[in-house]
Amino acid sequence: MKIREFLQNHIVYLDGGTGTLLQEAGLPLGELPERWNLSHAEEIRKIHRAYYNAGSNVVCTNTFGANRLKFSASELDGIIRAAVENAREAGNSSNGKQEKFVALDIGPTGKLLKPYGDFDFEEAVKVFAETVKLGVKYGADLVFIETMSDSLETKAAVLAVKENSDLPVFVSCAYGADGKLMTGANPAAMVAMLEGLGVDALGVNCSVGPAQMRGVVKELLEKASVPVLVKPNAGLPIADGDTTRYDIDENAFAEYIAEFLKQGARLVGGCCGTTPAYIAAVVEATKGIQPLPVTDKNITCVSSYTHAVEFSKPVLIGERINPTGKKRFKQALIERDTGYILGEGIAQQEKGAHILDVNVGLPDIDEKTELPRYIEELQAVIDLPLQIDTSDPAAMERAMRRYNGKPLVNSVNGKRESMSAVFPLVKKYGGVVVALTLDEKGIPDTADGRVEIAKKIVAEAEKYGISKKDMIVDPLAMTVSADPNAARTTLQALREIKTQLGVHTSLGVSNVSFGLPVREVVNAAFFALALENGLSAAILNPNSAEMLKTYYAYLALTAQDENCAEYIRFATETLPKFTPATTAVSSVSPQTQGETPLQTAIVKGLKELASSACEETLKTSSALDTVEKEIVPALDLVGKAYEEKRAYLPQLLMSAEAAKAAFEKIRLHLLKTGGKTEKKCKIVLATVKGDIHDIGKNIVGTLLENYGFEVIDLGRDVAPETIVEKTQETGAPLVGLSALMTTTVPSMAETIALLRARVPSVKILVGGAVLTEEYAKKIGADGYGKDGMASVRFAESLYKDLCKK
Amino acid sequence: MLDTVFVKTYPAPPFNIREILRYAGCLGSADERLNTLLGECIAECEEVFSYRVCYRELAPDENFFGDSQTAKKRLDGCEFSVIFAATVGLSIDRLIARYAEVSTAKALLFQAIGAERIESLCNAFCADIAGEYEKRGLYARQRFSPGYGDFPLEKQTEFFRALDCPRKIGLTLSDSLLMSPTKSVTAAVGFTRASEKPQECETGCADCEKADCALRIV
Repeated sequence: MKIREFLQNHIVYLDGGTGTLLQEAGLPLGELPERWNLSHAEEIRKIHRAYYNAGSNVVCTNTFGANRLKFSASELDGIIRAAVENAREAGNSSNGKQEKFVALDIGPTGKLLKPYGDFDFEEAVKVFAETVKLGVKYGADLVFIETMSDSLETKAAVLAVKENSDLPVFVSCAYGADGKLMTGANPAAMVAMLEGLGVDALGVNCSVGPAQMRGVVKELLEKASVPVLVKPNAGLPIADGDTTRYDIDENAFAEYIAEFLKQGARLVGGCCGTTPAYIAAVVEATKGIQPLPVTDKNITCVSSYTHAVEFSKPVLIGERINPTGKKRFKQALIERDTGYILGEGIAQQEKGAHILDVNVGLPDIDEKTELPRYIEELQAVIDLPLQIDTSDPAAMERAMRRYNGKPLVNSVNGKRESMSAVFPLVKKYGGVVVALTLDEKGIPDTADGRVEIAKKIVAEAEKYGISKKDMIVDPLAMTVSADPNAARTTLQALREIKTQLGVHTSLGVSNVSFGLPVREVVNAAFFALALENGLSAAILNPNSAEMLKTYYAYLALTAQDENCAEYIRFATETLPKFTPATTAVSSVSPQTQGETPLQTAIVKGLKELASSACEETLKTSSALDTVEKEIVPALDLVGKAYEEKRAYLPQLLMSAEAAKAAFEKIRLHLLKTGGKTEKKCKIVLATVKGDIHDIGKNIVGTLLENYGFEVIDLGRDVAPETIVEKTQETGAPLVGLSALMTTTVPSMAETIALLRARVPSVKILVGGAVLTEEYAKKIGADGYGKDGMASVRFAESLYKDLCKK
Repeated sequence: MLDTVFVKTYPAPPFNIREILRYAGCLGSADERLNTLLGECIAECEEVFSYRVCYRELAPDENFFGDSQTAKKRLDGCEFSVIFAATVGLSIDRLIARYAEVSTAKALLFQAIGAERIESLCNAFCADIAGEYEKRGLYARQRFSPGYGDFPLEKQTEFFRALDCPRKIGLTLSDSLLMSPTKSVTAAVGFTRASEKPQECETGCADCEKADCALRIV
C-alpha cells in the first residue's frame, strides 16, 4: 500500500526523537549524526527497528542535516543511500505487523534566508533539491520536512520536493510557546501557504511538550483541509544529577496524543525525548480510536509570513502601490526610490489596509526583475499579505515564487491565453486568484454576460485542480458618468456571482466615479451598495477617510463587528490620523530672531509642521530660495549644534526628517510646476558584502540627501562587483562604504581594491563601528567618516572638485 | 558535567532608559521631544520581543577556548564554564528596517532599544544562573564573548555547534559570522569556588582595542 492511500482511512503512527537516542548511543556532541549512517549503521538500524517494533508506520531516516552545506556531493550521496537502506532494513527485520514506510527526513539548514539572513532563496531550493533527488534515487516512500522555523525556508524545501519528485510530502514546523514560528508565522499562515503548495499533510513538532502544543494543534485542525500531524517533545529536559530526563513520562504522553487524535489529528509521534517506549505507549493507548475524517474547511484566505487574512468578512486591499495616474509614484519607480514606495505601503497599513496591491508596471520598467524585487523589499518591512498585480506572466511567476506566504494574484480573465498562463502558476505556487469578467469579446454590457464568463473561468480553473475557494471574481466597476446603468449592472453581476457561483468577489471601487467631481462621495456610496450586494474585497485608497467610514459603519450595521469594537477603534484611533498636525504654523515661536516657521520646524525636528510650513513658504518663495535660504541654514544650525555636542544624534536625525518632509513638498511642487531639483552630485552608498548592519549607512544617507546629494543606496551585504558596476553605471564620483564588524572589514578592503582598479577616479569614504582613521587609510580609503556629520563634511569638501560638469 | 543544551525564556526585563539613550549616541540628557519619541518607540515595540537563551555547561578540559588570553584571564581558577546564546528575536530587526524607510530617528532608537534589550536579557540570565550555582558554592565571573579582546570572533562557529542555536532559539550565523536576529549575544561565564571577585573591568572596555570609542568606559 502507498502512504497516500494508507493515510486516507488510518491513523498514521510516526517515530520519536531519534536524536535523543543517538546521544544515548554515544554520539559525541559536535559530531554530525548523519555520518553514523555509514560508520555506525547497526546502531542506526537498531534505533529505527525499535520504533518499527513499537508500532511506528513511518520512520524518518537519519538525515536531518544531510545537505550540501554540510557534506560534499559524494559524501551526501553515500549518506542518503545508507540512511534509506538502514531504515528499510530496520522495517524488514522488525517484528511489527503494521504497514511500514520510510520517510526521507529533511530539517532546516540552520541558515536564515534573505533579507534578514545571508542565504538566498534559490540557493536554498537548490540545497534541498539535491537531498530530495538522492532520496528519490534510493527509494524513500515519502519526504518528511520537519522542525522548520521559518516560512520562507519551508517554502523552498517544499518547492524542491515538488520540482524533483512525485513523492508525498509531510511538513512539520516548530512553533514556540507563543504559538508562532521563530520568524513570526502563526499556524493559520502556515496552513494557507502549505496547502497552496500542495502538501499531503502538515503539522507541528519539537520546541515544546504536548500540553503547550494544544493551542497550535487546535488552530491547525480548525484551518487545515489536509491531514494534521503532531510530534511533541516529551516535555522539558530536567537536569537530574549527572543525567537529563524529560518531565513527561510515556503514559502521560500517550494520553495527550489520544486527546489530539480525538480532536482530529491523523498522524502522531514524538520528538525530543520520546523513546520507542513512548511510541509503544501511544499505540497501545490509542488502539480503539477511530480516525476522524479530514474535511475541506472551505476557507478563502491569503497569507503573509506572519498571519492569514480570510475573506469571511469584507477585506480592504490598498491600491496605492501602482503608478497609474500618479506622477510622483512614476518618478519614484524610475529613480528606483524604494524608500518612497515602501513608505506608501507603510502608510496604507497604518490606515488599516488588510492586503496591499503591488503593481510596478511602466513601459521603462523590467517587471520580471523589478516586481519580485519590490515584493521582497515590501515583505522585509510590511507583514500584510500582498496582491501580485501584473499582466506579465513571467513577472507573475517570479514574484509568486519568491513570495513569502500565499499571495493574492491579480489577475486572470476569461481569455484562453490568460487562463492557460495564470492557472498553472496558481496550481504550483498556491494563491487566491482574482478573475476579471472579460474575455476575447471584451466586457459584457449585461450582468448575465459577466456571470457567464465567471462560470467559464471557474470551470476552467477546476480542470487545473484549483478550487472555487481560491478564486475571487471581479465583475468590473465601470464609469457611471459614461453609462448611467454601469453601477447597477456591476451590482447585479456581483449579487448573482456570489449567490449562483458561491465564490467571493472584489471590485476596484473607485473606477465608478471617473470623470466626476468630488469622487469620494460617489465612491463611498457605491462601496456601501457593493458591500450590501455581496462584495468580499475592495481595492481602494485607504487614505480616503470616506471609504473607511463607509466600511466600518457597514460592518457595525450588518452585525459583523462585535460590540462595534472595530468601528470605535477606527473612530478614535485611525480617523485622527487623517487630519494633519493640529499645531498651526504660527503657533510655533521662533527660537531666535529672524528664524522662520520652516526653520523653526526643522530645528525642532517637527515633521508635519515642516511639511505645512514649507507648503506655506512655497506660496511666496521659489523652490530654490526655499532650499537655500530656509532649509539649508536650518540644517546648518542643527549640524553645528551636533558637532559642538549641544545636540545629539537622535535630535540631528529628527531635524533631518523634518527637512526631508519639507523636501518632499518641494519635490511635489516641482512636479506640478515642471521645475527640477538641483542635486550636488551622486554618491553610491553600500554596506559591504557579508555585513547586514545598515543603520549607520542609513543615517549617513539621510544626512547626505538633506544636504542635496543624490544618494544611490545599494543596501546591505553588497558584493564588490555590484558596487563597482553601479558606480560605473551612475558615474558617481564618490562612494561611501560601511562595515560594522572586524570580519567584514576585509570585504571593505576588497571593495576598495576593486574600485581602485576599475574606477580609478572615484573617491572613497568609509565608516563603521570598528574602523579607525588609521585603519581607513591603511585599506586605501580617501576619507573616514567618524559619524554622519563628518561624512557630510567630507562630501561637501569634495563635491565642487568632483562634480565639475 | 551535563552536555544537554537547555532553553530558558524570560519575562521582559525593565527598560533602562539611560542605557538606551547612551546606545542612541545621546550622552547628555534628553530633551522633551526626544523623550516623547522614545516613549512612542518603547510603546510600539514592547510586545514584539521574545527573550530566549540556550546554554550548557562546558568542562575546563575541553579545548573550546583555545589559547586566548582574554579567555584565560576570565576563566582563571574556574571549575567549569557555562556558554550561552541569547536573542530577543527577529521582530526588532523588522521594526528597525521598517523605520529606516520612514523615520531614521525612530530606526536609531529601535536600534538602541534592541541593544539595551539584549544586554538586559544577558544580565537577567547571568544573574539567574549565578543564583543557581551559588547554592552549590560556585561563583560567577565576568562574562565574555567572541570578539572581546583576543577571543576571536571565529569562535562563533563553535558556540553555534555546541549550542544548536538555530533549533533551540532560532538564532543563525551568516558566512561572515554575523548573527541573525542581530540583537543576540553569545558568551561564556566562568564559575569558581573563590567567592572574592578579582579586579575586573565591569564593562569589558579595558579589553577592547578601540580606544576612540565614544561609549568607552574605563
